[in-house]
Amino acid sequence: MLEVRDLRKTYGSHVAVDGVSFTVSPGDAFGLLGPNGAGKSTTIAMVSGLIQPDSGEVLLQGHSLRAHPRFVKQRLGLVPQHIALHERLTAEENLRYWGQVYGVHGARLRDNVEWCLRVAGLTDHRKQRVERFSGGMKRRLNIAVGLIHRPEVLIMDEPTVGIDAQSRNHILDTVRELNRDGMTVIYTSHYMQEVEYLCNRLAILDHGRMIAYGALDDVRLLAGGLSTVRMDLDGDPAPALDALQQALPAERVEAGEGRISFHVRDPGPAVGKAVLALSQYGIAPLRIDIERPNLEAAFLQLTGRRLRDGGDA
Amino acid sequence: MRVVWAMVWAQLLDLLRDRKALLLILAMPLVLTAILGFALNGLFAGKPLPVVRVVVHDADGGAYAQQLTAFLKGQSLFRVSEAASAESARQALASGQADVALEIPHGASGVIDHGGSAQVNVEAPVQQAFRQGLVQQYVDGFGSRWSAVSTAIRDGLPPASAAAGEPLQIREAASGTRPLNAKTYYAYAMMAMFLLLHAVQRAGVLVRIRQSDQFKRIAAGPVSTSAVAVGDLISTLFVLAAQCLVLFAAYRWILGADTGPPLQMGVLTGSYLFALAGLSLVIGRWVRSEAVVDGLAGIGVNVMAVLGGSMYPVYGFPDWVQRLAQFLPNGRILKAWLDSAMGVSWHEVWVAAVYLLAVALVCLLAAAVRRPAVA
Repeated sequence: MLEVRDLRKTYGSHVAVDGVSFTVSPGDAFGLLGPNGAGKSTTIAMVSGLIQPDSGEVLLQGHSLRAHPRFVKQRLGLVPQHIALHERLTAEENLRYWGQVYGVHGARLRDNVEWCLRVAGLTDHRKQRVERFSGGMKRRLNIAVGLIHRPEVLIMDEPTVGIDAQSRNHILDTVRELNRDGMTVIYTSHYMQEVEYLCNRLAILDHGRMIAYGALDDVRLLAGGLSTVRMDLDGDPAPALDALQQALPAERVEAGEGRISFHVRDPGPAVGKAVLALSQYGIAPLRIDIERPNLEAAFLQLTGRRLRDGGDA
Repeated sequence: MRVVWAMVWAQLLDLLRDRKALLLILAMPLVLTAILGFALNGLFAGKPLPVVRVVVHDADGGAYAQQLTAFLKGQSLFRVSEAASAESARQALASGQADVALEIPHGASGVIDHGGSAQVNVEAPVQQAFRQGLVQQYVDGFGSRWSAVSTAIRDGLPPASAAAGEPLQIREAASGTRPLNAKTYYAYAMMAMFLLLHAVQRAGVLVRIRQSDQFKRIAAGPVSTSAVAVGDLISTLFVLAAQCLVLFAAYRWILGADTGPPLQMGVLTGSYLFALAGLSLVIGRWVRSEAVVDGLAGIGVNVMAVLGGSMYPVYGFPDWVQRLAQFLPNGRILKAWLDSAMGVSWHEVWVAAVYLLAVALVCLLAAAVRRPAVA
């Protein structure tokens, strides 16, 4: 559906985006993950036609953005990072205005306005001016405006930056609902939890380059794909180590005072085997912690630093 | 066009609900004009502006000198007295009995009758430079026409008035047929300045929008850059026209300022608004920083206002400044409005209107070559 081919953008000697390519299929929730300054927003700006890439191409349904900007832009909806609304206009007026800018008129505009107000949970506040909205309400309307022409692909550039947890959850649920209803979503964030929650496929960017790309589970596996199991025990595990190692032959079991830990690809059966082996020595687990592989770990594995530490812009 | 009107509608609605902006656009010009108009009218004791006391010493006594004195006496703008000697004329000036002294030297009539240029001295204290300039204009105008009449008579083409032996009547067509009062002058001076100021401030709004995510959203949509430019131009024109109408109505019916024929004023004002909208657009396109636009609004507009005669009557400036003022849109429109209010011919109006439309065209072309980029 949307194909991004080898995008490159430089500002002077600074390479903002360097050879980024990915494909987004219909119905995907595609995440662009990376620290601040990784090139996510520049990539989004090129994909949505705000800036011209130095090289590379963006294609939607086979149509080049460069050659057929109107065709492509009418099918994309952009939710910018900052609030892009007329503050002194009401929620409804804003939706009507942006609808007309995107070429929606008449009955279709009326229907879309109603739908957007419903999606944003702002039907009761339709006549209220945006300047009187809370930060979360503005964010929700900001997203709703991006939907006013019912785009085929919704592009969201860090839409949850600087808002409270309640509004953030509302936005994430809304985006997930839209995606479940069939809307293709491209979602950028430096919050790996958001991308893990929403997206089925993703690309990780760092210093303008794509360092990982694929299905969510595949990218997770880049961290080694191993879950870490930690067990607190009611006795000394030393006598049971050999039995544990036999029960879990592929894993290296580490033992400490009253606890063991091991890394395993499939933690469910492994925990069962470990508990059984320990019970033969009269040792029972007091507490079991399973840390599954995640994007944070993948990013750490790929770059040598944590995602939230990577901000350089 | 639907997109353009949607943009215009949104921008106007946004402005209409911005009380602070409305106050600045409408209330401030009205208050300032009222203060200036009433204060200066008080200064001139409600008499037409300017009332100049002129003391004339005629050392020549020839026909030209007598006619010049009679001509000045016939002007409602001047109160003319005669001095027996140059010394007593200077004394009248020094004692404050006169604002301007006119010295017609011996032989002036002979010189001008033979096609020469008579040197008539117009003296005034420094603080009366405006009045001095005004008298000088009348003397120069009279001299050039007298010279033309003399040449015509010499060449056997006597004008009807000269042949009939009647006193020579001279009409300053370009300066109009009605006197101007302080309120009228400052009404138009303030209107020219505040419209200019608002146009530059609108440019600041355009720069701010361009740097915002609102512009990203527009640029990401299926809207052409020319539609955006036309939307900006029309909304600026609407806002300026609204400001102009309110100010004009207030000046006309509250302050009692004079106006010219409605069609003349309409043509002139429309041309000026186009020039300003073009100026606003070109600044909005070429300037990247809102701070620079603020600087232009603060310093540039004030300099243009001073040079254009909005702060101090332009007639009091040296010739080169007056010429320079005619290149500035605000200077040009002020003179044109005042001329219209005083009753000039359509020719004068068209010259000003065409000049202002040319300014608009140049600005629009300059804006068109610059495509707005996402910040």
